[in-house]
Amino acid sequence: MRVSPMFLTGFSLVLVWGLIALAAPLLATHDPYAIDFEAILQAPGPAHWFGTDNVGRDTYSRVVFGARLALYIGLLGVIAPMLIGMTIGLLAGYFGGWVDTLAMRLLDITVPFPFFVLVLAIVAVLGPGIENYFIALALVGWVGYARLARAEAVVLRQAEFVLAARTMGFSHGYILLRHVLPNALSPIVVYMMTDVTLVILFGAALGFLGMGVSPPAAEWGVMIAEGQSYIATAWWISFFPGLAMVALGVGFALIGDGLARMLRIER
Amino acid sequence: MKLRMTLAATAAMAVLATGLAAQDTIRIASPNQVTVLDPIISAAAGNIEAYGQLYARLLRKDADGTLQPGLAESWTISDDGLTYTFKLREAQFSDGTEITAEDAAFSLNRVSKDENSAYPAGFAPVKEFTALDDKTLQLTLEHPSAPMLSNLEIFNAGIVSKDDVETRGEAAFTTDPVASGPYMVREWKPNDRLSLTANPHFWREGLPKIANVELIEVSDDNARATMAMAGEIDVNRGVPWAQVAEVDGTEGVSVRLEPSTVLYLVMPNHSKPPFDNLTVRKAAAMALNREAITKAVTLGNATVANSTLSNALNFHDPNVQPPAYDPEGARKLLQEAGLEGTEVTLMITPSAEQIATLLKAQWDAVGLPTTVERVDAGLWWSKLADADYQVTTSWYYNETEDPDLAVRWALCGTCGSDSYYTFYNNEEVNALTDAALREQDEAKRAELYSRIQQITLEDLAQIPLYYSPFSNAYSDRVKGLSLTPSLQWTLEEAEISG
Repeated sequence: MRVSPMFLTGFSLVLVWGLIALAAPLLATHDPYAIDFEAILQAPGPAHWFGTDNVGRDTYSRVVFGARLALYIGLLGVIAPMLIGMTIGLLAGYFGGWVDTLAMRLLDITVPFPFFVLVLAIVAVLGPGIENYFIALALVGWVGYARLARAEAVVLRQAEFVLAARTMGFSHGYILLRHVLPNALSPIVVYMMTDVTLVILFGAALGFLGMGVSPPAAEWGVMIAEGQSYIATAWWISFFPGLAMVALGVGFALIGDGLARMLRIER
Repeated sequence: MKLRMTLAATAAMAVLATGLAAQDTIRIASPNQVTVLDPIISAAAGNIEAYGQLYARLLRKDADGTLQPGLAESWTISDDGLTYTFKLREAQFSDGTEITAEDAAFSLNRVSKDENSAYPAGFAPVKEFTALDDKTLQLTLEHPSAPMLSNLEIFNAGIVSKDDVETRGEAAFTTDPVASGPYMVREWKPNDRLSLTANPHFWREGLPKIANVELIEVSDDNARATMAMAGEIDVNRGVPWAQVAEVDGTEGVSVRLEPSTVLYLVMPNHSKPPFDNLTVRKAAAMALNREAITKAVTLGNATVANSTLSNALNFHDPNVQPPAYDPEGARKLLQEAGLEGTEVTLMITPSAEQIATLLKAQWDAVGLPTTVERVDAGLWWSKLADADYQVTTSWYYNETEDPDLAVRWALCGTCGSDSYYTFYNNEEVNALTDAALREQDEAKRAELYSRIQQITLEDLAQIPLYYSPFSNAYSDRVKGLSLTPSLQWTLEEAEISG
């Protein structure tokens, strides 16, 4: 398997962000929550590399600490939908029959609503906050994984090694875990990388709308919202968290594309 | 050749005509919605700003704020202060019919007594308005009221046509009500703009000077500022503090900070722990560097508040002060009372995010760990009125320069709004409020209002933050226009040049 340059670029980008998040206290020049009445709306300069916001907090330090939240949201946010979706999809594809019918109807109910609208609606009902965002993601995000896993399982069900395992008398559970799952995993992992990007972006969008992480948290979406009314005069408040979000999002997207390319070559 | 000349002349005339038309229209962009044209139904800012153009009042205010005869050319007040007799002048509605005492009595009884009247507070002492003859209007009161005349000048005291309202009913107010003010409706597109055109029958000869007015609704602050800088609008109502310098620096546009009665304040809920406790209120006040907050939020464009009443109101007392900034003292106060670590929930709407961040940081620092609860404006009002909050932050303004209505709204516990729903209820203040309303002697009234300000600051009925001026941007083509503290555009005497 040749490692694609796309994957490498993406991986390095994400790795750098990971290191930034880990070393945030060392890299930050200021306390990201410290209010400074003497330094309100200062432009980027030697004292504040990315300038300060409307209560005098250091934008650079907040962007650095924001990497922690972004990665936390992105990586944790995809786990539940993936597990749920994968389980439903594998079971549906492998067993077929009424299990499949039930799973597909459940999917039909979820699919017609635009993804973000449904997430927004659920968060609006449950109340703002990161936990509720995760719950909403679990309820809505499983659909993509379920489709992929089902498609794989339908094919694998007929594969010779699965049929062989069946005739040897192995249980369904054993076959699913040892033979079907490992072979269905690659498209799911590729999809997960794209999903991480989406989850980070939607998380920030929720923060921007005041329905995600609450201020004064150093979260990129929240920061962009805080800078919104100063966009014409103090552009740096929104610009730098926006830039950070693009850099991290591109990183995960490249990993996803690179992986897809590599796996296709192998197949 | 002749044909060509004619063509050229026609083209030139066409250009001239459009040029003239444009000069004759003033475009005012405001974030405040116009939602209803009936002057008694709403007390929302966008409507208040429009009512003034459509309906003339018995009195009017001149540029320096003194009361002048309006539709009433003269009046007498009986010695006991209970009967007012107004002599109305010869004047017509926009449909050419005579404005009679009957119309005035109808309009003013409506605002005083109608159950749909949104803001009848200023007319509470009214017993009745009666038309004695075509041009004589009599007002009788239950008890004397010092600010009665100035209350007859506010936005909802406009005179509407009795005939029109009785024949067309509410329908009149949804399209093109018969107007008595300087302008009448040309076209109204709700959520977009209200287009007005000069009322040819307006009682002041030769006014208004500007033929057409467009009140345009633009909710986004940045969009409005950009439109003002690009010359797409002539007036920008509400320039965000962050953009004052930039807009003002634009060629042909200047930003003016205009006096207002707007007071920003922190509102503790007196009916619930922890803010029912004076020590907590006091510590919360001492924890706040109000000067720094004012500077941070308004970028130095507002004045730090010294009293529970706006400095633009009559009888504002400049010699009172809330507790000074003293975080150590605040912490000690809480420690001595065993209240250190009292948890506080601060309820805000999204627009107060910045103030909330500052309050939280400073309360956290003295031992009042603060949680910020964010709600939308609708929920905010209902929780406020239900006393379902601990502390919040807001602002209010007063329709007149007389402090009576402001005190009733924000400091009196028995005047209908439970001290702006802080449920502060001090019997002495309540009694003083009533005494000050009835007192006819100016010096004595000043003393009474001074006393109210002293008591409410000692009790920390509210923690005043700052007095915020209006910041509006005007094109240099506009002359003589301003926004008064009672939210009225002085359009009738304004001019616009090419």
